[in-house]
Amino acid sequence: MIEVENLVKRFGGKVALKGISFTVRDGEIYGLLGPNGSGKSTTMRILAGIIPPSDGKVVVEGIDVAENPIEVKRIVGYIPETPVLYESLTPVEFFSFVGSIRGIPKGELEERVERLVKAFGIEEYLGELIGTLSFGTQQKVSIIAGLLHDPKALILDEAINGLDPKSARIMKELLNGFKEEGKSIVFSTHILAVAEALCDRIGIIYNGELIAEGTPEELKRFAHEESLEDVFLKLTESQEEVSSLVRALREAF
Amino acid sequence: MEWEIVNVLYREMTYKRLRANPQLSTDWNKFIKAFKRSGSLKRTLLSQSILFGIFGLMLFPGVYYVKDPSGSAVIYASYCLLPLIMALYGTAVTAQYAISLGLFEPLLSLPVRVGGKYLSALLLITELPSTLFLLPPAVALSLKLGPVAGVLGFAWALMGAFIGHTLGLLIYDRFGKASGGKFSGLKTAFKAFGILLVMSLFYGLNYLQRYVASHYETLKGVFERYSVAYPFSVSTVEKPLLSLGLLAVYGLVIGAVYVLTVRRLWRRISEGTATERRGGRARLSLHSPALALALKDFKIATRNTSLLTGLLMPVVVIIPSLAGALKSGSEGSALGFVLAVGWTSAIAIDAVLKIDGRAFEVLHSLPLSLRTFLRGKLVTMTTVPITAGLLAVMGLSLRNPGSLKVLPLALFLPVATAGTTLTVFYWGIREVALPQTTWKKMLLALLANGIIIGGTAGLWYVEWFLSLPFVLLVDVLLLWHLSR
Repeated sequence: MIEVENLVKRFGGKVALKGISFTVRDGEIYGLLGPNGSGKSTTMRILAGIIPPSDGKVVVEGIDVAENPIEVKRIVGYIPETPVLYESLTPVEFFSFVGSIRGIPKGELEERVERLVKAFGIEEYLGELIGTLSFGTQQKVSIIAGLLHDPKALILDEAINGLDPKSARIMKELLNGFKEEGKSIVFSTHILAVAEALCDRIGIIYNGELIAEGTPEELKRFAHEESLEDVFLKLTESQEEVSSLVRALREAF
Repeated sequence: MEWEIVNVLYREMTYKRLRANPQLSTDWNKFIKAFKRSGSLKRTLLSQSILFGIFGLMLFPGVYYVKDPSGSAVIYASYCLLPLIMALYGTAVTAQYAISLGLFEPLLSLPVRVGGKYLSALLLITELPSTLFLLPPAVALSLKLGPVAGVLGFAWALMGAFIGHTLGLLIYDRFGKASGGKFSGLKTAFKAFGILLVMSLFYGLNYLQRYVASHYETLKGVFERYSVAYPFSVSTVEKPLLSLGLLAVYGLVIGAVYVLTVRRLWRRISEGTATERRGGRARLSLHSPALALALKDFKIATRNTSLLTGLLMPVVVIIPSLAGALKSGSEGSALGFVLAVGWTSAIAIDAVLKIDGRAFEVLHSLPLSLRTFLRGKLVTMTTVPITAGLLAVMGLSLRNPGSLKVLPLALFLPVATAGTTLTVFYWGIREVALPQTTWKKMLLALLANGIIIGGTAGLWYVEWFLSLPFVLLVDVLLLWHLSR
């Protein structure tokens, strides 16, 4: 279970998160949606113990993130939107490094790497430098590294971006499997169809505030809209802006 | 238009280089300041030209104060190795770096007739200021042999840079692949040797200057006999027509090789074949977190020349004291060498903290305590100086077995100084992060290491065996601090 209570994050004078609260239950996929710069990634990085909150409380599987970030990192799998990897290591060297820091027993590590590498189809790239791999393959390396320790909770920041359809499908199936195992999953994406299909509940974050929360159906009813895309555009006050921008573009061409 | 493209490429390369420095990329104001300072090609060229011109003044007396005027040409010719080696090394290393950054990708989709010439121009322009090192000795040459000889002499220096640049491109084209491949260990060894060679160039030049000055009469014959080959050809400046003819022939031959190489290189850049598949599939290997961190650092450093240079820097700095110890053979000079090793171990902190680059974020997402991180960095910082120190002391002991007394110090002193530096820089920091390298901390580290080195030396001269317990005590305290 992940509990976020009145979370505030300030960067100097700028307030990125203005007191958001939500809960992710065991065995639930919680979607965090919002336009670029709304505070999604900041929220995710706080949940993963990477940056400390300025105020409020975040508890992951009973551990307070502010008090014990290292213990949180031990049980959380975090996959960032842009793969951040050591580009001059090979995937095998990188997995060995992550496995060593996390203290994963060798047998378990070998078994998990083999299974995940096969699932994502990157066997032939294992001996190549990460920096020479395509964005999609780097993203797969990042996903595998985030899952190696069989985390209790998962924080996925637009992790499906850049994946080919087959790998995206595998990822979705994996997430459903983790959900069945009772893991708490926070998931952000700009592909609203994926969010609608995958998430049990969705929170819409805008300008550092959680402006709506509920199941996809509840959100549609709440906004009186047919699709999640329309709900999103309406709640983030982008519907009018999108229409006028499209008109202007059509006139320009 | 062409200058504009080279300018943009230079700015982009500088930007990416600075972004890869975690100490700058985490502090936006510091980053912008550094980028403004070094992002302008014109400004960089001007400042480097002035700097190299001033450095070149050191070479002026060597050419000017030779009794025999033809001796000046011989000495100047020996200096002309310098632009060749610097351009060769600079090109081979920077070409790999520039291409790995993907600098040319945005240009590929534009209707610009992009060629390898932009890569070459980018590298050559940034290397040209180093040729100004030879300007003051060329002036000395013109004062001794006339202005024509001086102009020809400087033209030969430029030719040397061009030869080095072309050879550098050729080497990169043939061997400069992004990954190690089958013989990666051997390549790293060659790379390390190359770095040590280039970094020791100034010691070598100093020796060469003295050697040529005292043997120029004998060397004159050799230079005349092989006057077709560079740098011997430089000594032909006394015969302007011959020298000009040779310059023209060199220009044609090297020019042709240059054009062919640049075309081949462009094919590689545009087709994206600048990488190489590594042979075989490596096995997963697990280590303790601190050792895993150090091994990761060494793997990254051996695949990145500038990082490897930083790690090897302590070895270069101690070369003069090693030379002194070898010459004297006394136990005191062996101790002096080990103290120098201890002193220079601390300077590796800068290189070690840069290794993670922008991937430092990876460490933030892992359950890694600051103390484990510091233990890992301590291993990375001390491995090179300890290995170099132990090997050198064992070598010295062949001349004087008494030198073996300092062997334990060669092992334990670098741990004390590097560990002290890390402790000072990370004082007050509680999580894995990059320390702010303030003057206060630098002075404090300098002072603390001064006490350790001074204490070791002082106790050695009281009674040689007293210095070891002192160093061991410092090591134990540091390791206790890093293990709590």
